[in-house]
Amino acid sequence: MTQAKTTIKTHQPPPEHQNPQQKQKLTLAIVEDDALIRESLETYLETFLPDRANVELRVFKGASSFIRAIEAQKSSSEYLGKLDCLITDAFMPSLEAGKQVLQTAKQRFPTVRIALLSGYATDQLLPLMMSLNVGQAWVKSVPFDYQFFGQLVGQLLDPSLAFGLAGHMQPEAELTSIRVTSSAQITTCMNQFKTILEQHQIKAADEMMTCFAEALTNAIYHAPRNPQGEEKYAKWSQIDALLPEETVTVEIGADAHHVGFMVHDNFGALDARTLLYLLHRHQAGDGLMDTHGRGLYLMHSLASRLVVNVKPGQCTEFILLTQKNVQNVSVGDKPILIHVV
Amino acid sequence: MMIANDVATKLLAQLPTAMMLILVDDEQRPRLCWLTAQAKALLNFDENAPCENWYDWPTWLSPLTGACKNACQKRTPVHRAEVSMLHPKLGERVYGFSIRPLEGTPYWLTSFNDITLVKNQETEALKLKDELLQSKKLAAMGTLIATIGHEVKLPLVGIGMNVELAQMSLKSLKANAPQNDETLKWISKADEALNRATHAIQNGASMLKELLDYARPARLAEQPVDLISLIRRAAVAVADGTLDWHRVTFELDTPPYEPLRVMADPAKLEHVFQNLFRNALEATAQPVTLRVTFNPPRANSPQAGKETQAIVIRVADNGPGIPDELHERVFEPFFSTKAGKGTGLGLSTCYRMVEEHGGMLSLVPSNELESGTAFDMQLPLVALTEEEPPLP
Repeated sequence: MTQAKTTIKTHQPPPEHQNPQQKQKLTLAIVEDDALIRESLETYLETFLPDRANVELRVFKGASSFIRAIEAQKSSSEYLGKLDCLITDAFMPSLEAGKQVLQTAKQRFPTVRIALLSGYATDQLLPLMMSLNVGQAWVKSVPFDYQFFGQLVGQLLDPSLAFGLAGHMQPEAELTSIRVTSSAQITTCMNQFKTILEQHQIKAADEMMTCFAEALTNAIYHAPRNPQGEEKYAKWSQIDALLPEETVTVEIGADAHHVGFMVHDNFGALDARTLLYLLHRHQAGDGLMDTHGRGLYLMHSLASRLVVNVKPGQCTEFILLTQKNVQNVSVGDKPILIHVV
Repeated sequence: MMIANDVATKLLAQLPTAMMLILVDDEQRPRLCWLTAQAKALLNFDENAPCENWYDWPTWLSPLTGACKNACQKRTPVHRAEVSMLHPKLGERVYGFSIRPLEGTPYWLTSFNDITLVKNQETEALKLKDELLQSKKLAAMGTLIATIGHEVKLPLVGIGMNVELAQMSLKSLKANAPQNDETLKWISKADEALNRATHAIQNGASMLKELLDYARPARLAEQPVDLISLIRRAAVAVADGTLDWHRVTFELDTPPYEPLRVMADPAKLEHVFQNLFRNALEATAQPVTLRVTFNPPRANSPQAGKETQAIVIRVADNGPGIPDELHERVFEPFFSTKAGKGTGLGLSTCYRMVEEHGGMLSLVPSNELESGTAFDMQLPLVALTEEEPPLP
């Protein structure tokens, strides 16, 4: 039985580009009809966004001005010829306008990465997100967390930043990485995580342990399949040695505000639509009483933040954070953060 | 074709009216000799007893004797009387009788209804109508709150965002500005002003959140929860959030079961306890004792004796108490005795949250208490299923 365990530092500097001039700028569009909010976002991004020099920022006052720019002639000053990322208000003032923005953007720029911005409950957006395969919905909250917003924008611009626990924690966070190769290590992992929760006096410790157990058992027992496509291992059975592709990577750690974990498998079997469907099914249906695939909803409900990253056929990551001073945040006030690369 | 006698008798017995045939003998003693099935039901007779029978005149029917005698004497075609009787099983009952003589016979045909029952049904119907109206009103109010709430929320978000931007800019300015006293003085003045604004915005936002949560209750994320640690956590959270906790003596009773697990949304249930604790604290400026005690299932509760057992948690304080005349209103939305403080939604939200957990929250009547206020929260207990091993 091998157990690789290393302590990793967060925020390693990205590899230097050979020739920064050759790096093409990414185009980021903001569509927001509320002037107060739109101008704040613009000021923030203009002034404080890291990597600002590599972003072409376009700001639109509403659905119609955005759609006009997409339909405009190349010679027009309004013309939007390239779009990598779009952050758009969902209700402008109705959901219909938000939907039109999404449809137009997707049609013209099929690979655009989109985040919805909402002052209403994010769970109301799930049907729209499912129909247009949009994995992200961010929340307009009071107080507005610019640092978190900046982090999300960074991950929208470069989704690889969303992978791993480090990208979701502050730079000084100390994280531990554990490679799980047998079922016996589940207990070790859980005890280690419990110690961190206790050290940081986390109020929602029991809830986080439930989530951790859920994510670990999912990755170890539910992800590996036999050739018939059935689950290979019986729940809670003893597994002496997982095959190399079945090993699970776990990261646990804390920064000044959060304690969190990441569970990473090598299958990447989930897609955004399925994940959104599972969230919606439980929010619109019987909640946790509906036992099918309830783990995702459970994690979304109990953790302060849930991030799901998928590289299809390669890996799935569940990243969960809990705030040290836990506020009773209802599910509708939590962002939906699904990155499928 | 003539109907055979036995068929006619059966038919009469099934008439959907409560009727009795009474024989008054020469000595003016009434006897009950026939009655319909409906009459047996209203008088709570054994339903299998035959309809044609010579029943002894039960003593509790004796008030009817007087009415029959009156009818005999007056000889009016129909004699009507409202008679109050003490039924051995049904208790105090008022029946309305119509007594008709069957001309040429010693028999009296008596039809009657149970006025107490009718009145109870009417009261029940009125209550239902009232509740329906109330719930319609609440639903309309919920929609109104949600609409206004969102209209207010957006500018509040915008103001908050701009204040924070100003604070961030000020921070950059402070780092880069010439470090002379005059500049730093003005920066710190601006910073103080922005901090005050942030504080006000956050107060407004939390009040707004309470309103919006009330208007659109979120679904429960239920899981087995250890009630004792949840109650402790709620107390710690209230203590953390106030400078006043030093005047609180917090007493937590030993639970009757170990572990005391309920199926609950931990955040929501903790919110309920926090609210009850905070209310007790805010009701007085004097030192206060907060006591949490447990009662095994109440004998008269519907859950008692069944597989799911309930626990009653009493949260009591020795504060000034709630005046009796306000008892009925404490769970009403927007009802508050703390004028100008809070939304008045606290207890109303608690009530609904406990109800959503399959429980009940009630205010203990003051005549059951020596002093102060007490709330009883009944929650269904859960046994852990064998399927999943407990967490390490």
